[in-house]
Amino acid sequence: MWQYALRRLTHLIPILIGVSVLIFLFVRMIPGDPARLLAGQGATLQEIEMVRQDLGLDKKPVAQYFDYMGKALRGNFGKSMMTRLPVAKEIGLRLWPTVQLATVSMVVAIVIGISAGVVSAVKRNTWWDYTAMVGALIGVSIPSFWLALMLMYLLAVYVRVFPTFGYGTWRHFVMPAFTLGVGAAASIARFTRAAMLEVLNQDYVRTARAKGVQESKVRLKHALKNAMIPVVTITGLQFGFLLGGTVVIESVFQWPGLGTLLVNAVNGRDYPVVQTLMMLFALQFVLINLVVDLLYAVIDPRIHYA
Amino acid sequence: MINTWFRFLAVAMILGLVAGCGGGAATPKTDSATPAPAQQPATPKKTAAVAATAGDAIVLDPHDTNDNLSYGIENTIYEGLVGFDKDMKVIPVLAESYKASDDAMTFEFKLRKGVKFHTGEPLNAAAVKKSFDRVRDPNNKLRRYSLFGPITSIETPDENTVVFKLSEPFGAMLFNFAHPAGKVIAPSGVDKGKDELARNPKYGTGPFMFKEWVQNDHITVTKNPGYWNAAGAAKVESITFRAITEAGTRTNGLKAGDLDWVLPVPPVDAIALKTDPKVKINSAPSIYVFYIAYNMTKKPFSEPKVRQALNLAVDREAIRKGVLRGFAEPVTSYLAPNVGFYVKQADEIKRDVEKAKQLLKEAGYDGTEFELYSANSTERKDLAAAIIQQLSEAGFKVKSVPMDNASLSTNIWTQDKDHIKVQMYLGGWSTSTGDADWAIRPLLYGKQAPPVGYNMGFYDSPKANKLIEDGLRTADPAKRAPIYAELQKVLWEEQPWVPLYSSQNIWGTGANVDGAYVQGDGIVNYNGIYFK
Repeated sequence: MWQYALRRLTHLIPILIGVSVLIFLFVRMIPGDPARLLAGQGATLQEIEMVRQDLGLDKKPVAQYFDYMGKALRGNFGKSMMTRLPVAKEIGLRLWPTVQLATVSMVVAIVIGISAGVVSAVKRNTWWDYTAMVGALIGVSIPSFWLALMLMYLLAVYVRVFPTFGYGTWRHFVMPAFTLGVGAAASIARFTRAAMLEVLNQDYVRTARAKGVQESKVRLKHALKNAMIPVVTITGLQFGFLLGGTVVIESVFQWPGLGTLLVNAVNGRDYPVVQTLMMLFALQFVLINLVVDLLYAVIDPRIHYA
Repeated sequence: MINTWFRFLAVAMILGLVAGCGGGAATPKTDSATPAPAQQPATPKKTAAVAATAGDAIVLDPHDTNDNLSYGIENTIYEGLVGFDKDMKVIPVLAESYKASDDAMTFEFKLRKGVKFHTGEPLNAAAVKKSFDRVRDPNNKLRRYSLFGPITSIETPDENTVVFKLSEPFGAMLFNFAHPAGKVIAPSGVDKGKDELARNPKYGTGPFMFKEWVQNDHITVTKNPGYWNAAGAAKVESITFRAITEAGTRTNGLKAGDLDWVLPVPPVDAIALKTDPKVKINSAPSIYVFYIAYNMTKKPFSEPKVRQALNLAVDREAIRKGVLRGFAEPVTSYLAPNVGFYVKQADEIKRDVEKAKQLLKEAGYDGTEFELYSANSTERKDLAAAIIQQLSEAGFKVKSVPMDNASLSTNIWTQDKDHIKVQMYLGGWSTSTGDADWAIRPLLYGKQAPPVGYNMGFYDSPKANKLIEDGLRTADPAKRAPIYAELQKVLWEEQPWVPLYSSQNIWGTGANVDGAYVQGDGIVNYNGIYFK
């Protein structure tokens, strides 16, 4: 298994190079001139040219690419065009808050999602099932933006239990993590329910019951464990998305995460920041997929990686 | 065998706890936003103000700034030789007095004595020279270079006198000195350079001193105990600027009391907040004029009757009252009323659809569809939609083309006289120097058409061009006034735009907060903020 993991990790190199080339091309293909934007309204052509030279954008694109990659390989991702801070620092400052929020939200999502999914599968076609599934439908459909502002109004303005915005203590996590968690929980619940229903009809479940295994053990050990594969897949995907930062929730709760950084960087055509962030997101996705694949083997011993 | 599900759950919960609490020590705490105790027994007067801004500052180097948000924060730390008062009139700040030569080529400032920078260095002629030498040197590649580029030499005849010499007459130069970029930076700061000044603005003379900047979270400034001007000294111990992009969050923060001062407040929220006793909503006219520019070099807009029809087809009153909920002023000249040399030309143009239709018929407009370019913010798109609806009632066919700023600017600046892309453009402009020249020249001077400037309609009127040039030949207000009066008349007659309205700045404060205000140019003056 470790050999397999190592082999998968070596695949990262061509992936990251591919991503870097693509992103480099894309950010330059979309219209918009960073020098013009930075120079601002009312800037003269001379000022714009000065900014362009300052940013090194007067060089040939190929030269710019190798310049960026050459430095990136040595761990220097350049300076943000807008804030003049090193890109690594700019991202580093926001990576941890994003990881924290994504992790806490995923925990919320997993706890709510799997519990609701299991209950509604086991109690199929009862009001337990209907409540859980209507809840999931609402969870998927509700705009997170609206939910966030409503929660804020209720729990921060009307009843002053949590801070309206900000980052720092556990209290700051409650509303954003719940908002994000509910959205993710809904799809996890639906996947769990579907997978559980399939498994509950299998012969080995009947066998387990026939030999007198406790019903709770049947459900959680024999059924749920075998139903986990699609659930782990969807959970991994959701986690990947959350790690990319969540623009809406970040801006509503003033969370200093990667999502707002990316949006600002794209709007300002801050090339070094966009490039580096995209490579980071690609890296995160590859790693999460790898972890998910390895988890398959843990969940189902029949799966082997050689 | 232990159930996998429970193991999984346990691991997930531990992870969550670690992530949720582990970072606490290493990361900045945001005390200001934690809820206050439910009961407050006669709380002592607050001394730390929290102001919300619509985003994070970009850099805090006045010479390298071009956004109002950053300027507002810089204004608490840095001061210029001259500045603006509440009504955008130029007033002396670090200079005691100033005078301009008749030919508008020499500007002399007498410095105030006894002023010290936050670093302890004294403010003297050499320091002022060093600061302005920095911004006017093209090799430093500073974004506000062009404001001070016309300076050819700076002389310091004595400790407290600075004389600026220009390469050519520039009557509006005093306004450039008053511009928020005309700040004096301490010599040690100039030596440290661009990266230091961008992030650590510790080199001013202002009523507040820089304390910290936590990226994307907050910026804090604290009272300067040694401020030179007792009358203008800070009335609070500190101001924290919180970057909050979402308008709904700013509104909730204000209601909850987590925020003392909020700009901007959207018109809809402003109306809702007016009934809240804990909140005060303020509005004041800006010096922004919103307009539609159209390409004057090509048919049909080269035809005066079509331009007249456009102007008559728009229902300005409906836009002000409906789209902007009353937070706008009628436009009565190409200058906003608070800009110097403003002369009212007429009442707001009234809508006359029948006459517009008639004029279009006479001009022979064939119903060709035009694209109206604008920014893609919700507010701007709503405005464009309302205007297009009104124009269509008079027989114009117009399509809205909203774009993000970067794409919009590329479309505008890759065109020239022979390659027109943008036929109609909806935008707003304020003169960042507060002077009439910068309100008109970048937008309506013949030599400022793209790709050079912002004259989106390629308007090139010999009459207007000459008056624009004349206005800069002298710094004497008595001589400039009649020139700009005439210029406004010419513009009103030739109609290079559909002038729409002049906007208002809307800001909200706690009911117990006062003293800070928004200038006409949209820049906040936080210095006087206090709690009642």
